Amino acid sequence: MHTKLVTSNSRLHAVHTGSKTWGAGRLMPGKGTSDLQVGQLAIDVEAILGTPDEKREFASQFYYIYRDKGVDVDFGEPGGRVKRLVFYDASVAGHSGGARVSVGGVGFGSSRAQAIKAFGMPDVEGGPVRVANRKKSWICYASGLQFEFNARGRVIIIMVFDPRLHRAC
Amino acid sequence: MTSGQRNVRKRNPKRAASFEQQLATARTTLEELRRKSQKIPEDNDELEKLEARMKHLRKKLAEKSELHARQGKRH
Repeated sequence: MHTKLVTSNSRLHAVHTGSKTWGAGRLMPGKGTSDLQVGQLAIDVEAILGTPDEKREFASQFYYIYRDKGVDVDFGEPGGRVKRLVFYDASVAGHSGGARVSVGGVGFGSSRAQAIKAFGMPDVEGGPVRVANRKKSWICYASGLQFEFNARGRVIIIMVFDPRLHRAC
Repeated sequence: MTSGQRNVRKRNPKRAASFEQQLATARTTLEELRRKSQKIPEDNDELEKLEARMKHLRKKLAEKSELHARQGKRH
């Protein structure tokens, strides 16, 4: 009798197919989604999202970039744990696909007023500034949540980050 | 016989004003982006671009026109 090895629930299966099956979902400030979370290692992220399209290193950030899924993951440094999860609307900042995420009823296209109604007055806000030929502004909460808005005041980027990284400016 | 101030290097005032305005805009954006604690990759890219642009503009601002005595002359 042959024994069939079922891999659909294994990490190996997720690594192989992760790029097609990730469904995003609801975000929790300071944490992430039900599967993709702050504090995970690169191997966990690759098991969920697959191999990144690009890896980029800055002064104190090390990003995995998933252009077709609309997600960037910051590990802080190579070999580090997830510090920030950035979710993009489609066609924003070079991401062809958009992440299907929302937080507290606020998603891509929601207004600044809706975000403030859902989460209260922000701890930090900034902008507008012109970045990559696009005017944007942002609001940030100490609980580990940041919204970025386009020139019309609509959400285009949602970031969930480790609340310990928050600093008031 | 002297040439007076003829050979003094000059600055085009309109050109200088334009560079100063561009420099001020770049500085404002740079400061605002540096203040942002949760940066995304495009912010880091923009910071690099702005720093390079400001360096270029400062260099352009410091430049003066060619010496009158050199105009029309080749090495």
